[in-house]
Amino acid sequence: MTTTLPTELPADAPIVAPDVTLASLSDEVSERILTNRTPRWWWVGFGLSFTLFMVLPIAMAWLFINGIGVWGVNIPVAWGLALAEYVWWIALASGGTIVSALFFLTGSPWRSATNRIAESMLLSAIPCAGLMPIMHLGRPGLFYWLFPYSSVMGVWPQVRSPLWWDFICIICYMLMSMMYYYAGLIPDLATVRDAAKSRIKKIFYGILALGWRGSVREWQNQRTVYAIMSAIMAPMVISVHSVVGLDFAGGLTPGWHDTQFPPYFFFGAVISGTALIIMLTILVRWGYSLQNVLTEYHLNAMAKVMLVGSLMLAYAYVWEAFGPIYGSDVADKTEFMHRVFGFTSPAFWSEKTLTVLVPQLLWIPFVRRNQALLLAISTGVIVGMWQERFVFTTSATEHNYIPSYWGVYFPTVWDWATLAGTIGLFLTLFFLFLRFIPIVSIAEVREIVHKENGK
Amino acid sequence: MSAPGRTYWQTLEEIADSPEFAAAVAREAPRFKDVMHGFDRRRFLQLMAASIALGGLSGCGPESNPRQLLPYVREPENVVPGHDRFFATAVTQSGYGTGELVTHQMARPIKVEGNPEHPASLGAASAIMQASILQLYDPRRAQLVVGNGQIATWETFVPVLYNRRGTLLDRKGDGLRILTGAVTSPFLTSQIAALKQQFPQMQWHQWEPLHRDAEMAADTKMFGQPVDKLYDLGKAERILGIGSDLISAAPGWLAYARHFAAARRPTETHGKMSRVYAIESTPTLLGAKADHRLPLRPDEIDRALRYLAGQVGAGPQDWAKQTNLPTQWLKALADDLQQNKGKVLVHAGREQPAEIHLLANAINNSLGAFGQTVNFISPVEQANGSKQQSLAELTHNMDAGKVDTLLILGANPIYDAPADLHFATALKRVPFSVSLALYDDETALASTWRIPATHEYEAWSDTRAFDGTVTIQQPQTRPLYGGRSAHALLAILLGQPEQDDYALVHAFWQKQAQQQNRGDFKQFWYDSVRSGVVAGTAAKPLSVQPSSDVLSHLPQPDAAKSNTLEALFRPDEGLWDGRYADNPWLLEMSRPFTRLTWDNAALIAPATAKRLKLATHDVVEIAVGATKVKAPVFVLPGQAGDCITLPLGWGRSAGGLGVGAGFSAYPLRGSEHPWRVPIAGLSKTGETYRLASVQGQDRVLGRDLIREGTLQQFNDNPDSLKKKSKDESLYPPYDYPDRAWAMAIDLNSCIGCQACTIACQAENNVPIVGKDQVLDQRIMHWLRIDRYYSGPADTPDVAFEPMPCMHCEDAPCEVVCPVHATVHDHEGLNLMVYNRCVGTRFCSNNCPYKVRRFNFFAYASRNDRPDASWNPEVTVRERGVMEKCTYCIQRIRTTQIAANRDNRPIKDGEIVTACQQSCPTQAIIFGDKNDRESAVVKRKDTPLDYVLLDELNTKPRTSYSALIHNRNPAIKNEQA
Amino acid sequence: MTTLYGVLAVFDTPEAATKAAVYLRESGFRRFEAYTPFPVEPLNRVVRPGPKWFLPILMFVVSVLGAGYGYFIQYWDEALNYPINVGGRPHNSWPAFMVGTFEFMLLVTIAAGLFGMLAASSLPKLYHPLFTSRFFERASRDRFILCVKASDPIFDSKDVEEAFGQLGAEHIEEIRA
Repeated sequence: MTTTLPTELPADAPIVAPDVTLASLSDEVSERILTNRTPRWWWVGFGLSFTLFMVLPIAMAWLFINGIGVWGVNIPVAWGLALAEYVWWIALASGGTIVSALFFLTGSPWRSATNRIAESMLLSAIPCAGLMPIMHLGRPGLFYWLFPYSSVMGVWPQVRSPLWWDFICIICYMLMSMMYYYAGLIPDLATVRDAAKSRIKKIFYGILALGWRGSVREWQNQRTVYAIMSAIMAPMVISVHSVVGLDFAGGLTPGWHDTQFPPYFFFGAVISGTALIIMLTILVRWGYSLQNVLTEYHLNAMAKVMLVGSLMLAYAYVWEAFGPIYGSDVADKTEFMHRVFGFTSPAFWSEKTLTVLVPQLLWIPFVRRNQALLLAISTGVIVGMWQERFVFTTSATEHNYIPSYWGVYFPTVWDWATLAGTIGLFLTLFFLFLRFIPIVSIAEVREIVHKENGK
Repeated sequence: MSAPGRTYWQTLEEIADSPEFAAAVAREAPRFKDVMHGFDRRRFLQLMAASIALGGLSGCGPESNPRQLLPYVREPENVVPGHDRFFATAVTQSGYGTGELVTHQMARPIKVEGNPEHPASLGAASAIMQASILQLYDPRRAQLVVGNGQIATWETFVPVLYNRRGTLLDRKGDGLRILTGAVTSPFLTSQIAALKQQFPQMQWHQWEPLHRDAEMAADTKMFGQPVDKLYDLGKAERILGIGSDLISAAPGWLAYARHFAAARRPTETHGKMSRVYAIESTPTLLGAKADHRLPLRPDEIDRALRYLAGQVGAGPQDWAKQTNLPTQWLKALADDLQQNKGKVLVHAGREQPAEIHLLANAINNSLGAFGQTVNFISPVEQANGSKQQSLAELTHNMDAGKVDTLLILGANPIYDAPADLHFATALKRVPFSVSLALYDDETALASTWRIPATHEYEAWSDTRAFDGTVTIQQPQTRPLYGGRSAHALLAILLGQPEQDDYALVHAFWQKQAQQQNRGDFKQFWYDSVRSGVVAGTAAKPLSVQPSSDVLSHLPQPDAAKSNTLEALFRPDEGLWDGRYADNPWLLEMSRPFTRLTWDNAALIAPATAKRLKLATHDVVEIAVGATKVKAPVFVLPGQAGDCITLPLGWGRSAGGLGVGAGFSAYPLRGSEHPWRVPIAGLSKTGETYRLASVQGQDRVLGRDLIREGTLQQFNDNPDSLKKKSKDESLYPPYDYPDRAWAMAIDLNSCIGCQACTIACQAENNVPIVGKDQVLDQRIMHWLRIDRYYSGPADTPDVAFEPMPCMHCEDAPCEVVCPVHATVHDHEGLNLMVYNRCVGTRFCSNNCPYKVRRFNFFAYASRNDRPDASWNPEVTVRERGVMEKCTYCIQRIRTTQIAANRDNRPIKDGEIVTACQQSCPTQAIIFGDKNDRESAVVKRKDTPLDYVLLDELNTKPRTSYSALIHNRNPAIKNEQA
Repeated sequence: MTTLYGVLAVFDTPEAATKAAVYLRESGFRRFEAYTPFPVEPLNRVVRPGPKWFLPILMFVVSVLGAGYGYFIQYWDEALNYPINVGGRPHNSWPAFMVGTFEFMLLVTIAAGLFGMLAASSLPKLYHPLFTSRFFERASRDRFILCVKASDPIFDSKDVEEAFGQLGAEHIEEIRA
């Protein structure tokens, strides 16, 4: 797929600007985090995010004091926003891994500059995702009973449950992402260590860098392992999101019980993840004025990935409709009809528009290069994906097998507060990454700079 | 009398403000410490009730003095043995008693079951009976003697009344009036008779808002004397119900329902089945079960019956010449009835006017029903005659100032008397009125004295059943809230204030026993009280001579006036006439047809609603004469056009929990028109009101949930209704070597009476959640009765489907639980391990039958009921855990333990689930699937047996028997 | 006067560094190491930093063990430790166990990779003689550094410094241990 990118480089868009040298690259990037004069835009952004984040503890307190009943969930619709947003966050996170791991394997040069953003985004999103299923428990304090560790009851988890698979996936995914992130980060930490002037910073980054010296041996080990790690992370992220899909596909509910969900969910991850990376890249570019490192080339490439993602999603949507309509199951059919024309229809149609129709604009090169449009489309995609998760999570249980027990689901103010809070949490974490971690993978870009200058 | 109760109250009265008491409260009931500050006594006492209940109860159990409560020694079949003890008694509803066995756990009455030996129960217990146990504990019950607005005590009241007695004696009781409900109690009658001797001028009035005046008047006219009718549904092969409450409210309906259903199980009756017709204006349970149902306006019903009478020769021939009626339907009915002379039963509900009852009688008469399907006894009620008249006389006397002493025993006329009598204003004219009431209801608050009454489980008394059988009611506990019985009150007037009701009842029956020379009284008393039935007290059949020409001078029917709206008054399925309006279980019980909880609504037919542009949730203002009442609309399929049914019993303004729930239709109800009144104006207010109905969709939407067929099909080929499902599975089957519990539910028998739902709630500590939570779709009932319509909206077929847990062998819920919180046991029970549950709720999403319930809040602890009232055998669930039907596992285990102890196998039918036990029609059977001889296997082996959502291959243990309609071939179905 | 650790030379291009390295190897030096801002392929062949196959093998072995353990712990839970009828599914529902097995396998593999990498590179090592040289900081920026260790059998500081000088080193320095 997008591995063909290098062959069709837009003439005006080199991977990095020609004026970038090894020295300037290292200085620029490390200066961003070593400077003592934190830019005003960072303070503003961080302040706002943190304020939003503060909604979360309040929402959680209220939830834990009163019980899950403060949310809109009910019987039959036992899963509401929390689960939908859990899927949504995971999808965003997975996007990060896809860009950094999958495209490392495909050897796409543009990935080097953006993978750090992608992975920081991923590490900021996972906590948001992980919080959701825990908060939505009837007895959140006991979530640890899912660990394969003999709890007070002496009974171990029930490992046939998709929820348990899910739990394991999230934990593994979080740990593995951190290790993957760190393995790639060490050389850059060394760079920052060496660039640091103040003693505290030298010590701080010195410890983080573990004494990396850039010897041939270190490089060889790091590259070998990093390559294998990427080779593992790629299937890992696919499995993670497939398992999230199994939460629903494993459920005996019309509208959920469908083998296409795993790929369906993965496609969603591709498009929404890329969309978020594009948004962040544009912001970082602007904020850190890294235009010459993060060039149109990168945006162009990722826009194409997003386009492909939307096409894959379109394919999944076709099957989403084909199954119930062609199939013989009455329950499936009625459920789908309600999804399309019933209570959830507005969300359903806007979701399809935002995630499939609008992204088709990306066929036009101009759109791919226009950052404002890219920003708009990406935002649309992310909103659309949220709607999609919401629609299929609730609409299926609303129209279950027993008509006498059909119901409707309305999110309460506390449902929304939780969403707002997690968005705040995500942004807060991401801003911290911006401030303290080299946001571009210096070591990898060096090679590109070297190649380009060699030309 | 209740010593601990009294001392407790006195203590309260005396030391309520003292520091020791504050300390005591802090010790006994810490929750109420804060209430002590800003001391508001009424509120405080209310709150204290819960702990008082405990205080009162702690002194329960075998009493010190010889007044031994007598345990039900010989346990009948279908009653769980074990640690429970059963005490026989009876509860009354509008006077008529139904026998009960009250289960005691650790000397606390916990659960009500029917008394199998009692003719009115036959082992079944209605929802209202089940709920009576909660009423007993209700902390909102009246707890204070109040005289002239001052808090008083019984001891201060007794001399007041006693002195009054003196003056009354001088006046030969002039100005003394006693108002009761319908009375069947022999002892109370004798007390009143005694009073009559002491006070010749005194008068006794009765008032029942849901009286049967019309029926009684018609019968008196027909037979020249008042009679009660007993119906033999075993013999009735053709049943015509006219707005009939035969299997929903008529005295003895539990027994009738039993026989009704027994005659409609083709698999057990060799393909024979009664055929039921219903003509009614608003759906009744009998109508729901009818093979042909015809919704008609009241005036149409009148003409239809005349037509029928004409057809069958009961009335003038020209009546049969009417048009503008569905004559084809009626003709077919008439023919069918005539072909089955002697096996016909026509029954009209209490709401029908006297003419209809006369017509019904006449038709019964000419079709030879009398002596066959209808038998007569002399009335069970002690004072017959029109209740309405009786109350009217009283009120006029009060207005005329002729009444200076009025004892109101259990009646609540200010709330439920005909509006035009203005009882409230009349009561103001009475200088001395005493109201003995269970709650501080409207009337009690307006009386000069109000005395907390004993619950029927708190006092000795006696009552008679619909067939005259006497039950001596024994108390199940000492009065929890210091109540007094009517007997004790009357005893004071009789000049025996020191007597308590045990002594009185005992003495009375001693006399009775002597008169009926029953031999050894000790033995007689023992047997009677123990078994809950006084042997040989069933009324002797009465031979009556029906006059044949009653119809000749029947007033001409009012001409058909279509499109003029009429309001119909009907009892509420749960609150009856309003006397149960404070019972949480009954308030939250979903009504069979509307499936509404916590509210009543104006029921309107779809066609009429369309014409008036009304929809469910709209609020309308209904004007009758000058009176206006606001009511939310509920569009009810099967309701007759142009009539709006207003369920009575709601909109209480005083009492307990029920205050403010629903609207009261009594203001519209006058003496002239107790059951139907033309509506002067109906206007849409534009407001809407959220009604909490628990039914999602009304129809099955193509799913195979209700399997039904005709008797014809069944007899031609019993297997015609079978759908063969191939028994394939990827999973190796588990075998259940010793026992495999299973349940079979017969849709043909289920009449949708909700008894099982409430029985389950009582047995399994199912909390109530309140209207808001019901609106949020969080109702907790483990067993619900789904109601589905088929056919045209205005004349639909109705199917009731009880939905407990299916206990699937390949349970979808278990596989998705990540913590082993729901698993199978070795007997195939689908277990729910509460303290293992973390509340992911995936199991509920995955349950195709939606029978799992979740504690979104800490419902149980929010329920305001004494801890003592919970069933100690069943865990009270905490917040955040899933719960569901367990097949009453506590009963299974209790029996298993007992069986193991005795080293014997468990007999079939020894374990009964709560729902099965309470079911009047035995629609539910539970037992061991491995025991080829068991009743459950027998029913599962019938060709009608099927499981829900077979295609999902969940292998449910709960299966259903298909609905069978015994259609009249002469009637095209769409006409009915 | 502490002992000598080695001699360090700074070059400004990878090519120069490689040339120098080749020269060293040809003139019989064995214990020298190169430090670069990014991996320089040709240097690998010259410096010979130990076997390339070690880490992949390690990760593979660990992944196999991890998969085995991952499956066993589930099998033990459902079939040995507390076998109970869950929805009529067999105790050993192997298809359902696959997810856990797979995820656990990947987790331990990645962990093995990270820690194996650190171990093989003898990291963490927060102090190193080279850090004493202020020129060394540029190894992580834009310079390519060669260092011949004093422990090399044919090491002689004079010769090495001379050689570096001829090879066009920007800067030559003796590192004290």
